[in-house]
Amino acid sequence: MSTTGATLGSFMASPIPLAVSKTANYVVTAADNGTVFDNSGASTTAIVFTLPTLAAGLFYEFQGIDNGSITIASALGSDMVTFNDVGANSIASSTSSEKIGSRLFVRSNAAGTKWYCGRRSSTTVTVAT
Amino acid sequence: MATTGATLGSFGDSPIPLEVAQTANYQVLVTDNGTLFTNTGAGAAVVFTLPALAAGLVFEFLVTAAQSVTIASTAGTDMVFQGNAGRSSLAFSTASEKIGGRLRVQANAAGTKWLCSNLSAGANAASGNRVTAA
Repeated sequence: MSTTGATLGSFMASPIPLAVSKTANYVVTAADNGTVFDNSGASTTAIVFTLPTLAAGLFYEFQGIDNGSITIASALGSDMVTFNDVGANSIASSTSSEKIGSRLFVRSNAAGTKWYCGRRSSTTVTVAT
Repeated sequence: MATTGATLGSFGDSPIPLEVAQTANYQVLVTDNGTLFTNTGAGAAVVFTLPALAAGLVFEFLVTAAQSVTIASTAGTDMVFQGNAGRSSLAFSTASEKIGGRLRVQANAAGTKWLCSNLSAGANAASGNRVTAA
């Protein structure tokens, strides 16, 4: 795949961020840095994106296009900062009728020790600890 | 402090956004532009007071310690958030909904309003981590 986004290292450095569709579970790599992953073509199949080993500067987004669940899971676990939790294992867009249009993001903290999680959509996020 | 984020003008332009923890009340500066503030290590509530409005300013605030975090406008009544264009402050202060609270405030192009977005990956579909507006 093109690594323009990875080379530039972020979304906003590029007018169009690198968008990559996945229809099956995928282990995200450091080389994917800056990518917006989506589930276009997955239909109702659930997809788990497993994050790479934490390192400063990593940033990914995840967009729901098809009506399947998207889970973003830490490889190590217990290092995702999200709703009332500084040690979550995963976040997911899995609520019925709220999958399409969901958009979540994760960014490593400056120390490379935590995944800071956020969302850009008004869809429910399910947290697993 | 380093102003890489400010120079680059946004969070995304920098591979690593400037991240700064504050454990006590803090007056945000224009030179902090582009900073992601956290309350890592805080043992009490923290109030971030925004600088005077000016086009091009953008800040984010992330709660990592279970303490209230308030983002307040200096002038007041100029924060646009969820159906109200005249808020004076926004806070993550609801019990069990503080950690993970993430708010982005960005000046509008005219430099007359703070455009505020709740980026929290919270459990509530509509609100994420609950924001208390004043």
